[in-house]
Amino acid sequence: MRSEPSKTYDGLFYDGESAKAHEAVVRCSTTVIVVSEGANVLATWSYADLISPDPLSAGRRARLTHVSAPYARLVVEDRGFSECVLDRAPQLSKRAHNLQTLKLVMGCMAVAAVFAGIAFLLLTFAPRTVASVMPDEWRLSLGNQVIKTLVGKRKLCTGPAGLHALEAMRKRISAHEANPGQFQVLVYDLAIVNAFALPGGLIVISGKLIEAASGPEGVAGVLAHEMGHVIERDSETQLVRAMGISLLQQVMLGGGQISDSIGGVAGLLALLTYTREAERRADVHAQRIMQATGVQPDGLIKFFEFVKDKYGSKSDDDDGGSLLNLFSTHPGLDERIGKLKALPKWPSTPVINQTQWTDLKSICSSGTPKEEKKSPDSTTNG
Amino acid sequence: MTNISDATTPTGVPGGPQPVSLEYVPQPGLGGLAIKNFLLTVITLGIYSFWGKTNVRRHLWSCIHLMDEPLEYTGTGKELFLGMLIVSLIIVVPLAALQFAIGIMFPGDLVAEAVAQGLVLVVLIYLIGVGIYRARRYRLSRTVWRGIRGTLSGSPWAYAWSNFWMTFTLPLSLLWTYPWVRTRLNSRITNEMEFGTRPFAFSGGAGPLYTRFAVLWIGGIITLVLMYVALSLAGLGAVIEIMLTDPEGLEGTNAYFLIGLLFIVFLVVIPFISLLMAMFRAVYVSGEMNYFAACTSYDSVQFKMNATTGSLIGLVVGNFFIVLFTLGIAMPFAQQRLIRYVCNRMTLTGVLNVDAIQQSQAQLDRRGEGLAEAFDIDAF
Ligand SMILES: [Zn+2]
Repeated sequence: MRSEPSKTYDGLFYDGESAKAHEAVVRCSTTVIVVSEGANVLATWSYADLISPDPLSAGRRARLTHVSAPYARLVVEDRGFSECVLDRAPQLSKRAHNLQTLKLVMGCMAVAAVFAGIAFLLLTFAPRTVASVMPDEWRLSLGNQVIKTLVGKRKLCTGPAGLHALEAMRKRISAHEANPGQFQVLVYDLAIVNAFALPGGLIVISGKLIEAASGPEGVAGVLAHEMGHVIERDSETQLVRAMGISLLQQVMLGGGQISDSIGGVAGLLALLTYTREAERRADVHAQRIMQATGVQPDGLIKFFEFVKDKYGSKSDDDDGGSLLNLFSTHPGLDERIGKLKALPKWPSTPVINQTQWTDLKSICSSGTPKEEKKSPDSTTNG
Repeated sequence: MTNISDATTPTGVPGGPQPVSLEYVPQPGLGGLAIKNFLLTVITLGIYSFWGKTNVRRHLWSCIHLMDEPLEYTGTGKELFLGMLIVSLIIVVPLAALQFAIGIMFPGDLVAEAVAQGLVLVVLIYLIGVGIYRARRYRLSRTVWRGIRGTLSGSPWAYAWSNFWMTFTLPLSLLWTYPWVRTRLNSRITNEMEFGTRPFAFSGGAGPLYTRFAVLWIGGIITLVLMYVALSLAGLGAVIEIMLTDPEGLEGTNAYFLIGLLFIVFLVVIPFISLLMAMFRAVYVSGEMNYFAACTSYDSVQFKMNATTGSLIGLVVGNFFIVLFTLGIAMPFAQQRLIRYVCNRMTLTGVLNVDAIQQSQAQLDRRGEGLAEAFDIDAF
């Protein structure tokens, strides 16, 4: 090594105060670098705080600065100088530089993981909070928008007698709820056996579902389950989450068009499917509601058995699209039937009377009002 | 009198005015850097890109030699990263949330959506001005030559306001205010540029730009008409072909004819028209580059640029294909070509009293150019 303490090199020094170039003599001593111009000492730099913007390699031009004077620059062409400095400031070497890059890359990966984690948590927990603080008007207008895209050209069933019967059923089974007015039940002439709970307390049942039920208790049971989803704000949560995902995508892809999320969300309605956990909660609500209002679970059991016969009990596979998220994502029908059968019996009365049931079944078929029986609104049949 | 000037003159090497020169001195290592950046950006899900970009800038800056002394880029990836992060938090997220809320409040309401989009657009146009200014200031303050850095002395908000209202004159004047807007904004930002404690100066009006702008404007109209005619003819050709072979539908259509038509449209017509447009643009842009340089001075150094329409088309088309065919991996080479182009065609005349340049006292931006990044303002 030619790094005796007395060894000096010629260099250029910029002090960071002015652009003037100082033709300096640089001494590479054991503890510090001393930069001087004639008798003037321009800088005394410790090795530990030296900075080289680019990694320093032995035998190449050195370009250095120092923590104490970040704008000062020392340029030494003499190849011996970089060797001398590298001996005493190994942090400037290519190897140290690579190590730092490695650390940086690991740091970046950690940050990426943290971002992914935050996004995951945000999408898991935040939507339910947002859904629960959303004002009722927003929820209702959201629900109406969803209905529009959901039912398309299918018509709303408005047989007057059927509507009366439906209202009687709604009143009966929501009688014990905190806010019975929030549930609004609409029957649409959809092509499939289905029922949805939508934002704003809107519950849509298909006419086919009413046809498929062997009695009013089956419909009432489905209604009670959907009311469970309403109470839990499940559909609002799903929609907020879907919007959040599209928002996140747009933010990640760099600003861009943030709007038209609603159009996208409407498309996402096909994905209006809940977690099994949400379904079990809705089922628990349904049981509680039926028990509180004295409605037989047998009708619902029969309805489930009918669905099972007709469509099989494949609860997880999507059934070529013939069915409907009501059953495809719900806990297995066998499991649900088993749970209902295991319940202790409770005192019950028919949810609506036989005449009302006949009326309800014809709610979609009679565009023209047929024999309008003056069925009193809330026949608590007995 | 002589005493006073003696006392203020720095001691040591006698300074005095020196002739200025600008040169691009290529250095090896850019290819390796490009590949390394690409790989590390992929494995860090994009986060490394800020450091990668910084390394490229450091390389390119160090190739620019001013009076035989290289420029140095002193920005850091961390600054760029934090800049982006903060812009996301205080601007992108609130704007997104606004649209989100409106989507929930007035679902399907086209008027509300249009109002919301208009509002966001207005805010964005204003912020783009802030972004341009801050990015320029950040880069100037991170550009060091002989230990001295640059800055912009004005306010980003004031600049953004000018940029904002001038932008609205463009549609109102059918773009004819464009050269004026460019000159005013460029004049403003150049006059606020400083290196060390000394300002750059820009003097000149938009008048000389209007001849070339007229070429661009008329050329633009011609291109649009050509595009329209070509696409209509292609569409017509397709319809006639379908009608002749099978009025009932596509069944018996000569598929080769339609495919050939598509090929001609996409591989001949559209590239030809794009090239035509690029040519008209280059006529204007090269003139603007030369004129702006001629208007610019620093101390007694006068800038002069020799951009030509042909060479500019070569630069732009070459860069387009470099980026396209490498999916952006070779972006640093496109940037290098641009910087080299400017350095090779820029001449600095006059002498500079280098020793008298003192360090800038302006405060440093703590973070990088998040806004410019968010709007993807330029190539660097
Ligand atoms: Zn359910």
